[in-house]
Amino acid sequence: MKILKTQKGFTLIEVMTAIVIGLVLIIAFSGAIVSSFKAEVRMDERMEASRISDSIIEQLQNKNLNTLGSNDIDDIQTNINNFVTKNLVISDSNTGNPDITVETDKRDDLNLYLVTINWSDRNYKIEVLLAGD
Amino acid sequence: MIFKKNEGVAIVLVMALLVIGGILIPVLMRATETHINVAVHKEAVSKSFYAADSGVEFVKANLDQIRKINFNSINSGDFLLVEDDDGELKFSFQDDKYYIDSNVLEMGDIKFNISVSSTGSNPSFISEGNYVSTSGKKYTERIKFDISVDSGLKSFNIQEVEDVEDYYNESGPGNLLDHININDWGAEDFISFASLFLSNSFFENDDFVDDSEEIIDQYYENTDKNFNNEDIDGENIIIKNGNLIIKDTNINNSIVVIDGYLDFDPPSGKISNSIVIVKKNVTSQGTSSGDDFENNMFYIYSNDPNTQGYYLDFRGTGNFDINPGDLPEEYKPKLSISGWEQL
Repeated sequence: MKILKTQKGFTLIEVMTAIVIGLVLIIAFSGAIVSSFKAEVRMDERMEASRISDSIIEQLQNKNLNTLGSNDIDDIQTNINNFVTKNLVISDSNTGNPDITVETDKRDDLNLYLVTINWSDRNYKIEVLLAGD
Repeated sequence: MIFKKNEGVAIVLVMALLVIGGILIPVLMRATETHINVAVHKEAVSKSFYAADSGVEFVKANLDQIRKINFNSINSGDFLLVEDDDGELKFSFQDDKYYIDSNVLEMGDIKFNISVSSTGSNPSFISEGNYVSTSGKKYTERIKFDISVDSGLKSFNIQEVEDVEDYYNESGPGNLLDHININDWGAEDFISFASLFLSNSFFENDDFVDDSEEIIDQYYENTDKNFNNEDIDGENIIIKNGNLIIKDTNINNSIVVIDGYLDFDPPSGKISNSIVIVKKNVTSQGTSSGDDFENNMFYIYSNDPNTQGYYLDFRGTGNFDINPGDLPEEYKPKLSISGWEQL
């Protein structure tokens, strides 16, 4: 009882104060922590998009762009999905909302193609010129 | 007294939380920032690399235009790609650089320029790709590459004068393959073949000394030579390790080996019944008729086209006028990209 008497009133205020301050800090920190984790995830996805896009370009360089068709794009999709966890849908058109769109735009006067690889959900796009065979 | 017994408990906890949070959070933020910077850097490097690679591909797609360029006229540091007054890309060599812009060429945002790294018959170029990140930082990647001129010995025989001219009158100059014989030889064949004639022991062979014991003439010099108004007839061997220009000169029953180019400059001269081996190219100016080249066997190693970009150029003023554009593909230089190297 003596102990209780000597501690009455202040412990509760102290604890409440500590909890309130702690909550404020945690809430404040949690925003930064969550944002950091989200940024990490986005960067990982973007780097993966960069790697996969590079791989698509390399595969396109080994194909005849003059006769490039959906079968060639399907081959690329199969090759890509062999080493990624999520099955990606790659298409040469926006039909069906693919994950990756590979567009080839031939210049009329040159045997040259502007290849644009566009990711629908990762805010990533890369362009490269490739010569036809 | 009560404060003394309890003071610091909550404060210590709060302070500890603040210290731990104050340390961990900046570390976490810093790690994330570094990760973002690395990702942005890798993405920018990748895009600038493919911009440089686009330059190489652009050249690859325009090798037909590059074929017309006399590589000997370009200097190291010159730029290959420039824009003309109409906004079209042209291959010329001026001290200027050009960035492909989407507004001009509808080629997206790709930016590159191509400059001459080294000159010669197989010149080197550097494609420089540029990319500016969202933060405004400029990234540059460079790729060095060569343009190689495909070589291979081409041989052909021009038939006797009447047949040749009749043939051309009937079928025109575009069907050269139908009456000449073209074969491809490798570089090793030319070296071994030519070395046969470049050996001193060759001239000691009795087979090449005529009945009157006259020593076969030979012309073996390190400098260019012009034959002007000469008459070289009968079992001569002409060996040149430079270029040879023939004007108003008759060469008959001879073997001609030239480690350079051969330039005929008729009208009155002719070469007949001879074997002609040329390392670079054969050009004729003002050929008057087919008998200027009557019954020879030509071998053209063709490792260096003429200024018009051809290994064989028989443009003349008479009946025997072959436009080099009508020549078979075998007589047009085949260019390719080689020596690809990221700097």
